[in-house]
Amino acid sequence: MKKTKISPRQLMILTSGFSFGTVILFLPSSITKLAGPDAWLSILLGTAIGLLFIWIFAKLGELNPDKTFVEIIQLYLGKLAGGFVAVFLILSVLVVADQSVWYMSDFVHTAFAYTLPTLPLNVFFIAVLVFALLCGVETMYRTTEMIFYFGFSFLIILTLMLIPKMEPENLLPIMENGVTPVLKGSIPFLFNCAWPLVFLNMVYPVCFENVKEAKRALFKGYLLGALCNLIIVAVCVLVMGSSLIANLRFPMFITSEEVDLLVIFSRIEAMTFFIWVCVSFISVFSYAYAGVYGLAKLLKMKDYKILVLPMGLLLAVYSLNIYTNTSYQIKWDSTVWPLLSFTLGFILPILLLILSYIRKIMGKNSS
Amino acid sequence: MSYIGSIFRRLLFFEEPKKQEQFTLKSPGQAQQGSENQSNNQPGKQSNNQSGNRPDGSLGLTNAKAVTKPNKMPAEAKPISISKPQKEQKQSPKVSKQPDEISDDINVNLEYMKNRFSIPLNCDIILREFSINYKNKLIPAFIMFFDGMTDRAIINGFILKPLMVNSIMDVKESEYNLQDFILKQLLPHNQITLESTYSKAIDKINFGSCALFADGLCVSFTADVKGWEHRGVEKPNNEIVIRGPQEGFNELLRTNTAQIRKRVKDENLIVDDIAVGKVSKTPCSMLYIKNVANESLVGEVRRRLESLNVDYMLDSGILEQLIEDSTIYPSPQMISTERPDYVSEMLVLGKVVIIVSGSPNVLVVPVTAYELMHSAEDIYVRYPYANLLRAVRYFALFLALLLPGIYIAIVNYHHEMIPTDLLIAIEAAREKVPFPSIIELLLMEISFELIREAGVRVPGPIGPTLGIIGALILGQASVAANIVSPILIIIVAVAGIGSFALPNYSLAYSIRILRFGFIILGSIAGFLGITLGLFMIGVWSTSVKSFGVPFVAPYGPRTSTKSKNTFFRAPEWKLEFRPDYLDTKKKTRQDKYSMGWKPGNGNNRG
Repeated sequence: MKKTKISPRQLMILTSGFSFGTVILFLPSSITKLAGPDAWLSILLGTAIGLLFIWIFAKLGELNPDKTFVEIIQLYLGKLAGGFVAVFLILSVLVVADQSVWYMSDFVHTAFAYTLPTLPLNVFFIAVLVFALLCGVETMYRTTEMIFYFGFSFLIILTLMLIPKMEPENLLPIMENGVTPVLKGSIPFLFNCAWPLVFLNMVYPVCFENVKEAKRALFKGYLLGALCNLIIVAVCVLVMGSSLIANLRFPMFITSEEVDLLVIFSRIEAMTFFIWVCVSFISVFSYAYAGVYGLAKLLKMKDYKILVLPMGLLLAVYSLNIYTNTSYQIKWDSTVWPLLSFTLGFILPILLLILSYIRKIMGKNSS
Repeated sequence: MSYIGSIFRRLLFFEEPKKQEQFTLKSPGQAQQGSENQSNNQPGKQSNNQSGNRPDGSLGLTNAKAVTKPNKMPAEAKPISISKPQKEQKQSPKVSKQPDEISDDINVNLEYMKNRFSIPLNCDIILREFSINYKNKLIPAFIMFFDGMTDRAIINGFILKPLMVNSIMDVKESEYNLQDFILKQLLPHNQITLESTYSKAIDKINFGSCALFADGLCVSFTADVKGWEHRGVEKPNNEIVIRGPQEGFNELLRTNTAQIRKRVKDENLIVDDIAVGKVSKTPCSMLYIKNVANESLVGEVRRRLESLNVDYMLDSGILEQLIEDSTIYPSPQMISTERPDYVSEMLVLGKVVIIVSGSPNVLVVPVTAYELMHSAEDIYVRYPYANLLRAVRYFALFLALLLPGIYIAIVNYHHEMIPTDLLIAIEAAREKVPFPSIIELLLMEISFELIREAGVRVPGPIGPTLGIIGALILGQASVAANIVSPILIIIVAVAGIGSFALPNYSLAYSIRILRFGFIILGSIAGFLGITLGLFMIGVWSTSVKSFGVPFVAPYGPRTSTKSKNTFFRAPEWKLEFRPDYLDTKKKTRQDKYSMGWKPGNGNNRG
């Protein structure tokens, strides 16, 4: 396979986009549900805990600088068991990618009265995804770099425009019920923003010449993504109040509807929508790429691109009934997804890291 | 169909086009060596090595070189196999020597040339037979040239007259043989070259030279006597600026190169002639500044030009389509301009310029997306004005590309996005319109495109009529007849004006195509469609390369921001660096503080 090259800067932007991409739409509500007005503290705490996992992911990559995650799994767990785990990983990743497509169409149907049925919308979205996958990971990451300017500057502009609507009392009282809600609130951050970053090990560190720089970029990107999450959650809570945010389905979207500044700056939710679709595309792409590329590596194929079109067709069909309805989605996301994320982003990397150290020690002893 | 299939395959499976790989692997030196074998088929290539033989020379810029390099001549006398003439050679029985070599028997030459030029049939070729007096012998000779392409006064006064009249004069140094006698004593013309093969001599005649054959000599003298009618240096028709030079390119290659050279005034400016077209052998000049331009870029341009296997190359528009990277990507991948000052500016940055003889449009490669939004005027007007103009242009781009699509999305799906009063105004205007808004919009867009196309084709005298039809009948009457709403007319008009404000005409074409795409996307899927469309264009743009340079270079991939002339431009004295994606040999183009008079700038610090 041709060696693709990504600059550390691109990885940084990708990591941040990946960690706040899809989830910015509903992360504030899932955190505030648990932590109340202390949601921003939860994010700070979650970021600090998450750094440990980023370190694990980076270390895992550093120990095997020329292997992707799927290859590392097979290396340490053996061909058969490793193969099973890899298949599990690939399937989960593709399911997660498909869920994002479902979110998108669900959001569009909920927020705007679209007459278009779900399937064409999904096919449309997946067509762009397939196109991006065919263009390759380098192209996509360059695009990510460009999107980043829009996304980040928009976030700042949105925050600035919402300042008149902010009420600091909404953050008070701080830690009314002790530390427990804050701790609880950091869990959704971890399983939405920190643990999924393990899938970036599909590109890190294989695509880099300088692993050290890439590692630094990984951390920077994670912190940047956490900062974005912090800003979003804080703005949502400041503007709308935690009890309202906790019960909204798309808090970020509803909050941006509040912008009403100097007559012309009002109703900018279309911009929010635009940015959200673009940024969430970063994470959808990363999931889908991890899935397809991992599958190609597992099957020892020369090029993953031949798998893209069939996978796109499967995703398009599956995206229709991946969740039967919204309540099912909420239930799945709050019960199954944390465990799945925990397994793939917590247990698996730690297991692999321990195995790698054992192997190292054994290798030293035998020699 | 197979072409579409290959594009599809390339899109689907991304079979890397082989040429790109070669570009990255091959160093320019190798590229040149590799093409040396092929160069026998392209006499123009050899004219690179031997500068006296340049196929074009209407202004006589290369006159000195013709005389100073006679020692190269024997090397050229090697047998050169040229595929086309060989076939015809078999038909003429008299040839005794190598197929393409000029014979020393004048009758053989005469017969051959008559045969090649189909003399009795071809009416504009002139064959003049006469004799030269050499050591009291009359040596039969003839000249050939095309009437109308050559300057008769030069042929009469500087070729025929000395040969026929002055040869009678007694020459004291008579150790000259006939060839040297003609070359050194008789012909006072400034560009004489010796050709030892028919094919080369014929190429010269085809491009406005006069060829002289004499008995006993197995060479032909060709004198560059081009003298066809041409357009003078006029104002550029399609790229008008308010500030800056008002000269444009014309159809003559050497005038164009001279226009650039007189601006750049640098001996390192290389004008490299490459003949393109197996039959027409159109001279194309590749210009670059030797100690600035990246060698691999120059090598790649040369490789692409030399690899072309077309018969005729008539215009730079054809050349552009043959050497561009992506065929279906809408936006142009090189600048095509008729302004010498703009081309000089690009050369100074380290780009490569291609001029095709006979075309007033000059190609500049490589180009990035934001440079298509620059106008030649931007560097002449003051810093604040230039940036205002740029901002206006980006706004125009936005309007031209997205306004109709956004309108249709809002009207169909996103009523809540616009103020209620405006929504009521739009809906009230649409009340009596019988069509759905998408039909209405497409109707107006298509009629606008019709007016636009008709406006180009319409003969001058009835031009104003078109305005009346467009404005009155289409605009007024269709509103009065309740076929379209007045607001829609405003939308279409603003989008149209937006596309006229773009500085690059090819870019405006691509925007027109994409606009229809966004109208359809907006009508199908509202803002989601527009977002996905934009996203797809973003991905597509980042995947496209222009001569090895990523199309959206300084931003995706992000490289250094030292070059400050991208989206907006910095003040002139801050433009110290050349664009780094060009990877030029000299990174800077002026010292750090170029304004020596300003005390604060510290002249000695730079």
